[in-house]
Amino acid sequence: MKKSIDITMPSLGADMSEGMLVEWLVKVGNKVKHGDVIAVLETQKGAIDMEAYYDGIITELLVQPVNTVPVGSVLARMDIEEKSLNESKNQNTSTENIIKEPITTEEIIDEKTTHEQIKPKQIIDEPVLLSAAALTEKTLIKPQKKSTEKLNINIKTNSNNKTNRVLASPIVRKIAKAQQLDLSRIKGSGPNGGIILKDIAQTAPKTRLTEGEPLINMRSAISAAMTKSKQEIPHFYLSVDLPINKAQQWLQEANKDKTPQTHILLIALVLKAVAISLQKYPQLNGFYQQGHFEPASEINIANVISLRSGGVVVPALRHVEQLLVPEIMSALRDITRRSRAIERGERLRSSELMGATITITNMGERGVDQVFGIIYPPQVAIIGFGKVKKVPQVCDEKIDIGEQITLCLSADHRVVDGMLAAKFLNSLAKNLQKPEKL
Amino acid sequence: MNTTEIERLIIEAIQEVAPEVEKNTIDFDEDIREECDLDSMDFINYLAALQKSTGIKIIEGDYPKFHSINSALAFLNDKNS
Repeated sequence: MKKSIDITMPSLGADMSEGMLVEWLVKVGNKVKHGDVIAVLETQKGAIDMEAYYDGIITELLVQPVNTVPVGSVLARMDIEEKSLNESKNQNTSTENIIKEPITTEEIIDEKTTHEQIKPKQIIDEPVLLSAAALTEKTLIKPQKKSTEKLNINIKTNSNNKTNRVLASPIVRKIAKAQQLDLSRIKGSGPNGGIILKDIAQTAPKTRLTEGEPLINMRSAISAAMTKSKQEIPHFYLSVDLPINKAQQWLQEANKDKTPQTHILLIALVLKAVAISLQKYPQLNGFYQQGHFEPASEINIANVISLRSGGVVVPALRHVEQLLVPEIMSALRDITRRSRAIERGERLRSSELMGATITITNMGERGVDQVFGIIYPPQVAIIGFGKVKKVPQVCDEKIDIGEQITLCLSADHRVVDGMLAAKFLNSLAKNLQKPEKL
Repeated sequence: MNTTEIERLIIEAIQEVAPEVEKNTIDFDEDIREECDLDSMDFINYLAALQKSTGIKIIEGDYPKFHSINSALAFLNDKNS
């Protein structure tokens, strides 16, 4: 039996209140599959490929690009087999991490859509699409192939043809068209002078990307999420110094003769150790919503990735407990590369920005000894890692030089107590002493 | 590949992970991780891009040779000859 469902502007994080529909990649009547990219969104986190969460047929496109709408606004509708809905419901629907009510502003969307709000159960997280680069680059449907044409591809085409065509990504062209901007008058700051999103904003600082809606500011979005966290979540903090001699030895052996594509960093090992410990202590893996904690059935670890132009994105690796360390590394590499190349036309996928069940922040690379993170609501814990330090270690009544990192856990006292948090840290420390078992 | 081409590929590989970096702002003798603000993940992504574009295999033992642009140029020139 067929059932009509709403496709809504997804919440790609606690700090997102609205998003801009830049382009539809499907038409009414198109068949789509779970995981197909159906639209391009522009958010505080840059351009995002929005995926379908069910198999079905697109029946209505209610919002036309380019338009900014609040999270939860109905963008389109699709018909799905009811069987498909039931199958998806078996997954953990609590992983939808909406904490904000959709903002009710003077809407630019059709009146009939404004009263309809997101139903979290309709956004089902997709565990399959993450990880390896090969998966994220696969061509899903024909329109997507066109849409993911990247800036550097444009550049190559252009230089080969030796034409005077302006270099710009498809998104930039779309927005420029909507705003009637003359791209030939804009100086591009991307590679080979290509015009990137930033350039459009710089060209007309007061320009609004859509009528009536100001440019979204990542800084204020982070501010909103972190303020909410600090105001509502009673944080407590524990830290432990963790010897990592064995982990480093294991990595040295594992990386011997490896090429950069297969090189494993300590963080991948740590992520696996965290996932295994979370299986033992699920109270730290889930969401505090509507006055109570719901553990998540999957372990989706978000990583704080700092962007070169400032700000952060926090994409998640899904089902880390099921991935091998090299797979975790491959996924991390890919997601970091794409996150930091958003201005060049690379994109994260909506599934990568939804459903994180815990967060990790690694500040060690920046020379920091320890970092006590702020929990990203509605999650209940964040783990911070400091730098690798050479330290004197007592071993068999002798003092040796060893390596350690300091690991800090910030946890939500509404959900867990210090004892359990300490047990979790001990478990994590033990796991990292046996890297061969991870 | 001549030295000029290799240098271009190095700069392009850096720009893969640090798009805002321009050639004339980098000191070729300095550690590019500091010059271009690359973390470990950026650095291996840089090496992966460089291996792909040059076709020259880079293994872990070679990584220190890529700490500066000039040392990378010397290494790649040597492998290329």
